[in-house]
Amino acid sequence: MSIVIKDLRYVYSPRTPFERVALDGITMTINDGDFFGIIGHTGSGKSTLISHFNGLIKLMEGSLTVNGIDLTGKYDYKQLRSKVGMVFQYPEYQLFDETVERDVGFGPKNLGLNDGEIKKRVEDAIRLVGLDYEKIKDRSPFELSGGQMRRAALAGVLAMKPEILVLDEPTAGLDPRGKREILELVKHIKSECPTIVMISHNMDEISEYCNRIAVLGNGKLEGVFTPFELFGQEEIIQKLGLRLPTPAYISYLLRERGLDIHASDEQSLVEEILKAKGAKDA
Amino acid sequence: MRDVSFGQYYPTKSVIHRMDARAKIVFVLAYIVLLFLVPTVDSALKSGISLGNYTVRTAAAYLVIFLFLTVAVIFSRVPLMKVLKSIKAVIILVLFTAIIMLLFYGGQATHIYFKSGIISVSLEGIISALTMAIRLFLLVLGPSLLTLTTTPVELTDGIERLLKPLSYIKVPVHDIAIIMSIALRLIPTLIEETDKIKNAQKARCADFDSGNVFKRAKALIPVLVPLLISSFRRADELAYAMDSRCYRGAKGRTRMKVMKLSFRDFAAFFVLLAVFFVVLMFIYNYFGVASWLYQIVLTIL
Repeated sequence: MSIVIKDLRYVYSPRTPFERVALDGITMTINDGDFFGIIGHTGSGKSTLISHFNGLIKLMEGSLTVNGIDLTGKYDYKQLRSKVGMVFQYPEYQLFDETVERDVGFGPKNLGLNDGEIKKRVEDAIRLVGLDYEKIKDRSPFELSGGQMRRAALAGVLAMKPEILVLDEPTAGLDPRGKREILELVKHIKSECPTIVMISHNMDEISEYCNRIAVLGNGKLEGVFTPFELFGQEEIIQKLGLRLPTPAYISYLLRERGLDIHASDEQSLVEEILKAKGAKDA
Repeated sequence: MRDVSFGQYYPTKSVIHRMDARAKIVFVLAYIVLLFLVPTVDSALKSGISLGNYTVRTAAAYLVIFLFLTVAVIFSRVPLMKVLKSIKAVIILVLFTAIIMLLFYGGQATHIYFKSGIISVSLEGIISALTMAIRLFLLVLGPSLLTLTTTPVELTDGIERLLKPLSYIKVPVHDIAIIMSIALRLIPTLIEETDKIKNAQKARCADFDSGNVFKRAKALIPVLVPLLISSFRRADELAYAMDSRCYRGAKGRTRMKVMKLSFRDFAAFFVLLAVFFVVLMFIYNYFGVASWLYQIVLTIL
């Protein structure tokens, strides 16, 4: 068991007029090897939730265990943060150093590793995110293209060799092709870092890549589903102002018109529509 | 970072909140002037007033000002803790200056308790340190009540209107005001941004809280560089956004909210005038009030 969350509750600015409950009674478990998705509307508490995982937000109420480290008591921040890699929204905005190599090495250096190990990890991480190490290592991170910057920032987190990688909307602000590339990259990274937690707004991408998906609404957990189960939860999804993945949504609209169609991807949607049409023609 | 919010606008609906920003600014300035009209121990002694008499007068004057402030706070409906938070920010400064004042009081002193080299503790020194501490606290509380009850936008609008006459001598009043309001507007954004970047670097095990001053300063580089870059980006975007909405500066610009003095502003004006009068009465012994008060205190003691 990787991340065990129990009755987690968090309130911003308690006892002031700005008080806001961000998380309320969250109980769930993220297993080793999961590609775990978290979906919810803006302000539903997704980012607050993941900030708990590496101790950036202190536990207020409830309990949380991450890879055996109990976050309710005292624990070693460095140890936790080296195990949980956190990639925030627009991670390229955190680049700061003179060269890509030094920037990516920032995390390993903070871990107190020796120079040889740092160099090796930096090289591995840069290669892992699909950048050309020799070409890029001595360039300033600010000279890179947008997509390359995001990859370099991702490498900065991977260089710490995390056991769990947490990504907050890794595709935000990218064009469709860039989105696809980043998602494929995350899938590829999963071979090195087996447990991945990903926040997303986008039903299509989250249902395609994740094996389990937590749905958050107004700080409450609506449930944890497999992608297939999720397609049957129209009420929850509509209530939260989200939308089903496109094929599932079209199936839902067709079901409302009396056709018995349960498709989860484009291919099966086409098949089922053709089947229904054939049945009608015959 | 979020907790550096002392003096930050506190949203409630109160008479003070609804007052005209210009009036509030002028009143706070008058309040500050009033605080400085209360004489120091040294100047009072030089003009021939006895120490006892001075203490009674000053105590009465500060009491009136304090009562005025208390009433204003009550009317503003801002929680007391919020108001007192501004004191917390200056308490060390005040204590430090008070202690220095106490030990190195350089004016005339007749009631000396202790003397060694340049250090001397005297009754005059103690009273002087006390009055100074009270003055500083009152000095901080007044303006913080202003910022607690006035939104930054109202505040800069008020300042712009008050400085308007200066535009006749070619002072770019509108530009100054817009710079101020943009700066004020961006403070929370920058704080949020700093938080975000700090968290991102903390996630990479950056350590901001240990080591000596130089080490800590150096640890801030990974935060400051991205912050600076994003500030430039933001400034660029804002400039484009203003440009595309045809922003041309002050010329021909009208306002959505036109400021208007109302009854409550005049009422507040008369209250302040009364406070001024009473305080000055105690300080300058108008109608012999101060001497009379001094006599009463003497007979009670």
